[in-house]
Amino acid sequence: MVAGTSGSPGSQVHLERTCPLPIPIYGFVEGDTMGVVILAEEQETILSLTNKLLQAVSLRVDVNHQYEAIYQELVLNPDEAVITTNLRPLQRLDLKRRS
Amino acid sequence: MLNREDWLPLARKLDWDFSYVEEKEVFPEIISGRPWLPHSAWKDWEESFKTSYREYVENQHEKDMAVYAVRDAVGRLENVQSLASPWINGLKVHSAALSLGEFATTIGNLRGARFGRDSAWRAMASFGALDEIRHTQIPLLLMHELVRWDSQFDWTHKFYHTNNWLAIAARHFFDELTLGQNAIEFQIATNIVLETGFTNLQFVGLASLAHGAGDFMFEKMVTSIQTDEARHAQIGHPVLELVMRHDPEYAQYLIDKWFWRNWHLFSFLTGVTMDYMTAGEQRSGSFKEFMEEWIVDQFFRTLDEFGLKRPWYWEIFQDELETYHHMMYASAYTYRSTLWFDVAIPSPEDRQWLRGKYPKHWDDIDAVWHRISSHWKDSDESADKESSVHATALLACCDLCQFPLCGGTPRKNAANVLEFKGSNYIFCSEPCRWIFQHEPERYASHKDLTKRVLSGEAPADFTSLRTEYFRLTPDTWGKDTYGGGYKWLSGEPSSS
Repeated sequence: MVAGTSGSPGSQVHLERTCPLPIPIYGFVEGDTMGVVILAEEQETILSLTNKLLQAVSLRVDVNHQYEAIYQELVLNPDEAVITTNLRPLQRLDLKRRS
Repeated sequence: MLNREDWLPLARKLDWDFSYVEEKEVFPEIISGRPWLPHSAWKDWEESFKTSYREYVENQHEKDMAVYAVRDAVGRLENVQSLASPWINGLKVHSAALSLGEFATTIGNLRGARFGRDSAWRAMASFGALDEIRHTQIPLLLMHELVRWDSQFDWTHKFYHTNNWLAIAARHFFDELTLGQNAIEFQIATNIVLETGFTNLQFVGLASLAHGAGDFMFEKMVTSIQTDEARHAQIGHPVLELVMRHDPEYAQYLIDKWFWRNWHLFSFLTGVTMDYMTAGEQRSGSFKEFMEEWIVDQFFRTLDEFGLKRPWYWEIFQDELETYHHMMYASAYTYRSTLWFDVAIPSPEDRQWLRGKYPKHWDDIDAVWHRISSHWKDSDESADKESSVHATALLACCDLCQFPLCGGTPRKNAANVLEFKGSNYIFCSEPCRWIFQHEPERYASHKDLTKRVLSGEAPADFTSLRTEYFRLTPDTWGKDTYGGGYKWLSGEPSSS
């Protein structure tokens, strides 16, 4: 259920307990009715994390838009790796549509 | 021979002065509640019903006979089977959430019966406890008949014995309100906020909708329960009056806290049933209109009566009245197999009606329904459609109310994070955060669903979470009421 996507509730999506541990993040996408939890891998980029979050909410939100990731009121560079950002466990990450 | 008016005070006011123990030992503040005052301050405690045991038993017997007569006449299986499917599912929601919750309230009343500060209070709370046993057993009895037809009705009994995410939220509410509470907070929170206020949604609003839906058994059940509530809810008024006189700030806090906690529980329980599980032609008003007429007006009268102020979060509450239960329902729909009842997409006509009732943010909510509908429309005929139009990402839940983070609007979710003693806590709203910050010791150690999964206490994969932790089976887990076979789907845009 963690970091899953819409479309396959019968599938087994396991938490990967490898080192380093993924970072659980509360994700909110503009247009959605709720928040979800996604797991951020330290080495993945913000763009990859953004796509993961968009896929997780795509059942409820039309995600065919450009989004920017906002963390603690700052827009994150999509090419930056998660490890180099200040992203901390159980914090809020927002995806806002680019106007 | 004494007449009743002279006899009853002798049989109700039974306190004596302690000589072998201290009064504070008999009524410790931690369980009797604060402000702790000597009995001399409570001795004039009074309520208007002044029921004797004999009268109580006679009245209850008559009420039970009336419920059974209605069940025998119109509560048979074929009567229930003739009701609209969405309404039947609303019945499953209510019977599950209320029956064992009522039993927990028995225990809260028993605390009042032991630790209430005046004997008349304790006598009345004893009757209140008996009332709540009745409110537990009536739905268990009535719904038991239906289990052989539809196993989802088994959740009337099973719900609180599971770690279903809604059960976690409901237990968090009832455990605090009724099981872990001192007598003063219990009576104010239960009698004033819940029973004088929010249960009007059930007893007046939902009872009238049940009548319209042809569900006379449910109507009779809740109106019968209401007559008990109207009596034992009288305990709270004299308690609040005295607390208000001695510690008005605390009285205000209790009212503010419990109004908010009730609001979140009932916006799912009743809001969803009224606006989404009642057929359009049977709706006499929206949930928001019921709230404004039966809860808000009554609440203002209570505030005026006691010299209390409106809660500081009133504007937030009014905003949530427009959105919260809509966001909850749309979210829950996409996680329907984690529920024990079936849910349906509101039809274009229903959505038009909702737009008229909730104009402020409906366009944003409607966009979500369009999106879900288009997934049904585009789903592969050969695939398991129920699975393909379903979410699997882990629900993020509030660390106070335990419901999913559905506060605010689709454009701006109101969730906010607080760091407390090195841990992060997330809240769906400012009032939930405010309550947590007032009593962090009470709430901080409780794990919401997210933290249970992350700590390994609950399974991380969807299948195990649904079956092993939420205790659902293919027969009982929720599905789309119509299997996605909506005639109007062809008019929806494509999802791609």
